[in-house]
Amino acid sequence: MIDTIFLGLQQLGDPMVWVALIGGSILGIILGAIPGIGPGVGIALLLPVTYSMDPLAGITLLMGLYAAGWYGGAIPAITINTPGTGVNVLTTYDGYPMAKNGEPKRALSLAYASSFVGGVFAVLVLMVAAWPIASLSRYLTSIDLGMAALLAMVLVVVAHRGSELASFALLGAGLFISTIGLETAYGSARYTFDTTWMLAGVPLIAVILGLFAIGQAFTLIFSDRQVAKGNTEVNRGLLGGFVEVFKYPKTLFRSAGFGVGMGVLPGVGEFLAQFFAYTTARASSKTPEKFGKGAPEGIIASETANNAVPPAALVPLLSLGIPGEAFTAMMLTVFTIHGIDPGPTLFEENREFVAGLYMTLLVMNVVIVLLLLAGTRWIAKLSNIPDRLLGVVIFCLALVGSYSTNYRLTDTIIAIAFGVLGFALRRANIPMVPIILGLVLGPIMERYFRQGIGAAGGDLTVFVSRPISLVFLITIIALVALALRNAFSGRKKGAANVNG
Amino acid sequence: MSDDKKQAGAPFEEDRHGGKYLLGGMAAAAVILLALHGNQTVDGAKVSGNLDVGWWAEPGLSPAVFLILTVLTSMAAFFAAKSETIDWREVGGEYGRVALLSGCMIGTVFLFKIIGFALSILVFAGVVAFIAGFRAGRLIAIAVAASVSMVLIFRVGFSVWFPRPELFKLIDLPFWLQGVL
Repeated sequence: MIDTIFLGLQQLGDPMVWVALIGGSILGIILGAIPGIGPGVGIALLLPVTYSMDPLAGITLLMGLYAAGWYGGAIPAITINTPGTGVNVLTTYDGYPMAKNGEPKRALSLAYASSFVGGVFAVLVLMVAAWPIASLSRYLTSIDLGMAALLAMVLVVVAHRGSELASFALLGAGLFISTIGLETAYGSARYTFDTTWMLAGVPLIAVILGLFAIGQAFTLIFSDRQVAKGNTEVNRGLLGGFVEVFKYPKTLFRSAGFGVGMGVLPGVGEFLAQFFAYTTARASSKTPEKFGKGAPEGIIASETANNAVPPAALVPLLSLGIPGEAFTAMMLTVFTIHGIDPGPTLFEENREFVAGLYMTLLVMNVVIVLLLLAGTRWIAKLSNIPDRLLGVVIFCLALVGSYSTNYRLTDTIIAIAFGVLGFALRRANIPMVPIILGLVLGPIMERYFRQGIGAAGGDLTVFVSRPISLVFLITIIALVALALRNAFSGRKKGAANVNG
Repeated sequence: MSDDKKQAGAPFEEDRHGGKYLLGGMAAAAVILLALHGNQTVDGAKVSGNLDVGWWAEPGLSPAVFLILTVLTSMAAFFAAKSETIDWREVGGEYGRVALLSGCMIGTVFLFKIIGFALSILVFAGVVAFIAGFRAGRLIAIAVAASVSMVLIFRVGFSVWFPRPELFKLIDLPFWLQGVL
């Protein structure tokens, strides 16, 4: 472990890593603090840029956006009662009432301190847990890994309660799209409609830019949201929370535990983590009646849990090469571009990269907090930018991003098509994550299953003769049955929403 | 939860609609693609020069499985969803503007080759700002600011290459300026 720390510190000697770290953190805070944008748009827009960067700098830039976005999202949640990102919703419950009661600095300080503890705790867990899990994955066969990829996708679908069927449909669509182009076994074309530009498959960058950036830009252009007025005059005196959070150690570390646990599980993520952390904190509080009226434990539970998720989400990605949600799925493409293979070999062949990533994630939390302490006064005013203006800016960035990747009009058209789909999905409140996971995990799953079934000579009992595969299979069947039961029982009760 | 939360909602909390029709459309598209399966994939055993590897490596297997999954689940979701009353005039207007914006994006890609990066973005940002409801001085300010920012980010910052436009063949501009614009 000491070796890893020293090796990681050496990687911080690269100035590009610092540029990526600070640049990603600033952008993440800004995008997080503007309601309705969030880090996803930034990651989509910057993904093509990271392909030309050193892998550590590229991943650091994206992680900076990812982690800092959740920090920044707490600012409008507290100052104007509008969460910057979806994962900061529960912060409004106690953050805004506290700010309204004349303590905005205390609320922000508690949010920053809780986020910092959650983030650092999760990085430490990542440092301890990723390598052992990766070592264990050495004993997994192709069938086991294929089933693990399938389980990750099913978990993501099941996590979208109330939209299970629609999520399954989108997962299927994403998996199908991933098969378009030349396949590897025979080198034959699939669904290319006799065109040459489709032989390389549907470009992932164009899909991501479309779904996340252009779809969001359409939504913002048509938005009629009125900017809420709030207490955005906050500066100095933001350090108090770094002492106060430790007055609630049980809430703090239990919430961090929820964040890590939920972050490691594919598809569960920030929403459930903060929900469990918040409800548990309220249930175990001596003053539960204060929750929703400015309870410090409410802010601590919500912010600690959601900021513990990003580093924890890297555990399955680094150790098994299986992303659990859309952001880490996008990061997997950076690994692929640079020929880095996540899994057990990553920790042997790319020790410098792994050690550097650990250290940048630790330093990142410090940098983000320093940036917030210095700039909250200005960042808080970002939430006043009109949605339509943001829409114009995102359109321009997405247009250049989609075209300049390959200088092909077809890429821009694909991005626009997925942008329209993303807009329609947002309008219908149908989650987009399954389609991205299907696109990224589809080829991985197909490759493992082809290898595994081929090695068994086509014998399908290989799925049940391997104990690990059998456990995964039983879990998948149980989860699918549960999802279908939820979907149809919800309909019977008349509670099913538009997504089925 | 305080009452104030009702006053200020984020954009992602707006009323939602259209899911049933979207899922129905997905199901229909998947059925059409499934019908084209035989035409859009090849039989592995018939690929010349290759041995029959096995059923598990058939090129058409995965697309067929994934399309069947899409058809079944999107149809189930379609029938399970509550019926919706859609204001088609409103939806038509909204998607009409989406189509207009999409057309502007495609048009701008062609403009890159004719008037160059900076001017194309200036025109594009101006049109998008107009569609977004900005007028007069604010529209011009937004278009100019967007154009300058994009030049600084992509051309100066990331040195992103763009093809030399036709316009620069007619106007004698310094080489460095052509590289930026």
